[in-house]
Amino acid sequence: MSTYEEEHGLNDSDETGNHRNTERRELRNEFRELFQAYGSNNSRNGNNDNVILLQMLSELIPEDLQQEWFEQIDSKNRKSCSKEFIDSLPRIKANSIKDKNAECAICFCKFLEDKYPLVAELPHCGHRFDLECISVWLSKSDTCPLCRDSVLSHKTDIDVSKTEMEEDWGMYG
Amino acid sequence: MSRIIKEYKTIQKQLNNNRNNQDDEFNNIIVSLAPIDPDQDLTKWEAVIKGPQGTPYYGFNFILYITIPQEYPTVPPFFEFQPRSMPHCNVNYNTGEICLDILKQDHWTPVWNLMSTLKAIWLLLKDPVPESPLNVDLANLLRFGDLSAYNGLINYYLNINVV
Repeated sequence: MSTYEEEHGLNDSDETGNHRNTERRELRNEFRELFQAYGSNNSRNGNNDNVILLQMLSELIPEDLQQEWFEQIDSKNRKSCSKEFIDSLPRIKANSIKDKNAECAICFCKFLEDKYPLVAELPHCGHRFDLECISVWLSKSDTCPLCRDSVLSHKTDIDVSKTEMEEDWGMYG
Repeated sequence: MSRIIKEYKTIQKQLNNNRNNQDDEFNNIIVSLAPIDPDQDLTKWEAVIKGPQGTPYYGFNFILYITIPQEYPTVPPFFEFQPRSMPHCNVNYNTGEICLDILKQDHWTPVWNLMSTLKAIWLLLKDPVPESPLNVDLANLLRFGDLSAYNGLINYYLNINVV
């Protein structure tokens, strides 16, 4: 029995086409790895070989692709907070906001303008923001907008103290 | 976008009320700051700032164009000088591009606003940073301490534009 492809003389071309595609993809990935590795280290090392290699690569690779790859590096380097962390931020009740004119430094709206404000407080520095505003910011950054305090760096401290207390309870119980 | 509307109101109030107040911090900095077409579009702004006293820029006014991105204030606004108007070692003379850390995503925080950013740019005119130049000629003169050549070159460029 002959297959459809054999009858129509298609058997080889399709396979080589597939093969060529995978080869292409692999080559592209290799290029990307090289480009990103040398593109990000180049300025710090000041290694001459890297500079020449990068120059050659940037001549070979189309500009929009270079930009896309650079953006990939950027997004990898940029720190941000997890959704769980943002959800775990302590909420501030409206009646505990003493200053009538206290406002969110991100949207410039007064907290008490809203009848039911959703206000979150950052650990350690204690700066307050609308939960909605600070969520957007922390999904792109890991610092307090007001004092640049690294909000994630204090989280481990809190966790450790909690677990120690639990262990103590276990001993006496 | 609601944030930029709030800022617009504050800016109008602050600039109008303090027009004659010599002690106001922005009085010596900002001549004007407003959307180009306030009824239609709040994403394109124009600002005019004064050259700071004690610099070669004193006595001249400078135009800046501001673009507010959709995600503002999570991402920084885009500021640039009018092309071919600002001879400064951290400004690209031909394009007006400004090299200032807070205008980049890594150093921007949403607490900054248009007024404070404009003040930061004004302060950059007072304190040029030759280590990260966009105008290499001026940066080199400054780095080697040739102040008379530095001031002379700036004056030359500033006076080209005065007709």
